[in-house]
This record gives sequence, C-alpha cells and structure tokens, in this order.
Amino acid sequence: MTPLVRYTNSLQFQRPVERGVTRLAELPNHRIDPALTVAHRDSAHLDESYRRAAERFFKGKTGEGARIFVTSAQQGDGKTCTATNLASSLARSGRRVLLAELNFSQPRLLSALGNLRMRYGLETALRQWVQPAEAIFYLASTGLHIAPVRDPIPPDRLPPLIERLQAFFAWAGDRFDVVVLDCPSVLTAEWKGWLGSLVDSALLVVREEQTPLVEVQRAVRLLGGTLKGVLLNGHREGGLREPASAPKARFAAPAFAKFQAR
Amino acid sequence: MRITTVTARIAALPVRHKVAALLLMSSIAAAGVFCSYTRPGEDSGGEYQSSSVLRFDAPLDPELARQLAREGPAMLAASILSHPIRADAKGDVGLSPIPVTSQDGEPLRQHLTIAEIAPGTIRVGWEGRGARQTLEATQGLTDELASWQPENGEAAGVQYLLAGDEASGKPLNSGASSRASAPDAGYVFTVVESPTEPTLMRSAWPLPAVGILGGILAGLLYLAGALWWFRPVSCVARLENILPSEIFLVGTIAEIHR
Repeated sequence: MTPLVRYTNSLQFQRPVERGVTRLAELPNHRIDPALTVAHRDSAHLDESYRRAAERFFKGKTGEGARIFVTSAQQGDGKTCTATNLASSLARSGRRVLLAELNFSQPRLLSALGNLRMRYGLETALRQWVQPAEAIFYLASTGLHIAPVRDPIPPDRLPPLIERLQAFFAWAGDRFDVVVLDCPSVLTAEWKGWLGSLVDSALLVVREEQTPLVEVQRAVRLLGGTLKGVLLNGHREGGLREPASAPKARFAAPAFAKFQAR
Repeated sequence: MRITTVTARIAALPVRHKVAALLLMSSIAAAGVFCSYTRPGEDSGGEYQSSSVLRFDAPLDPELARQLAREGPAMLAASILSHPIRADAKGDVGLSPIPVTSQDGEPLRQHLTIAEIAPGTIRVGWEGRGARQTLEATQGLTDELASWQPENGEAAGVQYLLAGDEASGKPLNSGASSRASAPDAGYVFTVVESPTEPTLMRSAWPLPAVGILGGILAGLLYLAGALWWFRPVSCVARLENILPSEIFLVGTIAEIHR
C-alpha cells in the first residue's frame, strides 16, 4: 500500500457549496494518519471492506439521513480512523456523506488529517457563533464532507449544547445521505453523561488482540438496543473475510439478502 | 504466547490493576519483613519462643551433664518446676494454676526447653502460643532461677536441682553443689546475658524471604488473573460468541500497517 505522499503534495479542502465556495485549504499529507485510506494510493480493497460493512450495517439500504454513531469500548481501538474510512468509502461510492466529530473533549479528527487548521469547528456551530454549514468542510478529492471539532470543550459545558446538537443532526439529515459520527468511547463518562441519550444506531469498533472481551461485553450491555453492528478492526488474517455467522438467521433480513445477491 | 504479547497485554491492562498488583506485592513483602523483626500480635496464633542464658556459678558436674544428656531437659525442667519457689512465682509468669507436680503439669514441662550450650551454661527457653505469655514465662523462670540461693548450705543447693529426681535419690550434681555451697558462690545460677535475648521473640513464620517471595507470587498471581480477565478479542469466532443474537458482525478490516 503506497502512501499518497508519493504522488501528490496535498489534499484540498474547501468550504461547502451551500453558502458559496470561499477558500481552499491545503493539507500537508505527510502528516496524515497512515491508517486512513485517504493516505494511500491503492485503497480499493479497503474501501470495499468498509463499504460492505456499511451496507451490512444499514442492511442494504442507506436512506436519507442515515446515521452511524461509531464508537468503541476503549480508547485506541480505531474509532476515528474507522469513521473516516467508512465515510470516505461511502462518499467514493457516490453518496453524499458527512463525517462529524462528537468527541468534544478530546478531538482527534483534525490531527488524523494532518493537523489541518480550520477556521471553524463543529463546536462553533453548536455555540451558534456560525451557521452549521459554515462549520462543514468539503474534502474535494474524496467527495467527503467533514465537521471536525477544532477547540476542545470541557465535558461539564457540553450538556447545554445537547439540544443544539439534536438540531444539527436534523439539519444534517436533510442534506446528507449518510452522517457518520465519530463518538467517544462507550465506557467514558462523556458517553454515559450526555451522548448516550442521542444515539440511535451505534457501530461498535473492536480491535483484534487489543480490546478485552469483558470490555466488549460491557459496551454491548451499555449500548443495548442502539447497537446495530460490530466491526472487527485490525484483523490479522486478511481483508475481506466474511463473518462466520453470515449464513445464519441474523443475516436473513430481506435487505441483507438483497445485498448478498449483488 | 510470545513475551512481547505478554508485555503488550500487561501494558494494556488498566492502570488500577497494575497499581493493585504492585501494592499487593509490596504490602505482603513488607508485612513479612515487619512480622519477622517486630513483635507480633498477642493472639496471632503462631508459636513463639523465648529463652534466657544462665550460667552455673560452678561448672556442671560431669555426672550431671551425662544425666542431662541421657534424660534430656525434662529432668531439669521437672526439677525447676517442682520447687516451691516456682509455685510462688507461678502467678507472675501467668501460668497458674497449673499443678506442676501432677500429670496436668506435663504440658507445662513440654513447653520448657533447657539445653546446655556450653560447659556450665544452659539456655532456658519457653515455647507458647501467646507472645506475651511466652515472654513473661521465660522472664519469670529466669528471675526464679537467678534468685536461687543455697538456703541451708550445700544440701539445699543439691536438693533444688534434684527435686524432680526423687526416683533415683542420688545427688547428681554433688560436685556443683559442693562448689555452690562455698561462701563466694552466691547464687546457683547467674544470668549471663540480658534477661531476654534480642531474638527472644520469634514467630514460626513469616520470615522476610517468605514474605517477599509470597508478595511477588501474590502480585504475579493477581497480574495473571487480570490478564485472563482482560483477555482480548483474538478471533472472529470468539467475538461472535459473546455478541447477542440480534447484533451481528458487519465485517472485518485488515490490519493497516502504519
């Protein structure tokens, strides 16, 4: 897998078209996290893995405003990279995708994208300093829209913003096919304190040989009915492995059968 | 399992468990060392030893020494315990009301150890389950023996030592008694060192090494338990086994080398 730095010098970001293109931002891609598919020249098979995972998550149909809350049991399992790669693969398949960061206390998205400097973050929109559209940037090379957090917000100042966050979800749902949300870990106080009540469809990221089974069980219990799927990250046996349980009844939903037929 | 995997898994353990293992390890080791060098609690249930070193003002008669070697300390113990002074002092040593002259006094004699550690020098010891009682018993015996004086000349000194040897009726330490009766002999026994030796109190366990070893083992055991409890997801099948039936694995992503 060849890093992107070998054939291009930068990735370009621009403000969304909705309020007019204002400026482009150059991203020095040698700082991009190599775990992101956008950092690699040939990422087709990874994109395919993520796209098929997303298809399974939505059981074959990704309607307007479909949301994926990407979370994990503990830090370091690859939430941000999974969310970014998932959103990127869906965007490359032609969907209008927004990747929003909900990890307000410890934002990671901008650093994963090479410490990109942005004028506004999602938190500025939630504080109503700018319009939501002004906090969304467009990754031209992949067709992905991103709404990262620029300045961290202490957890104790987040609860007043929940209502505005719900309004932002509704606003984004009207404008994007899929909204991928990079969330904090399930077992953090942040999730238990305020984010858990907003989640309706969670994707739990588990890292092979790292995430303890007992923590996965705790996360599954905490997520309850909002957990719609689990993604195993860092699988060492190779890429496009079909889950062993695929032929079982759990995949017998009509939407998934349609997906399998394709 | 490779060493690197083990170290990586230990590093990935929650900090609280690593701290707990460290605390467990150090506290058990410290407790072992502490118990070995300080006085344990009164009711800890261990065996304690206390002893004092006494010296005859005159060397033991060779015949008495042979008698001691043949019959062991029980003979001298019986002699000491049978004396009226012992009966008077029994309240001080915290052993009353054990009748030392009857069969009930046998356990008392069994706890008394008397050994000749050098010509004319004996070590009087006491073993018991109570630390304070053991110490006081030894101290009382030491005081009692050190205070022995020939009351009526030569014969008295002999009789003191032969009080438990009524069957033989022979003065076993006649040589010693004759010297003990000398005007400058003073007392039959003299406390050679301090009334109680520095190592008087000794619990059967734990020794420092036992404490340190036990601490390390306990810490390692805790770590092993924590590693087992926090064992990671190693394969797809194991992950699927713990997922509820309504939640499915949407896919696996290959390792992306950074």
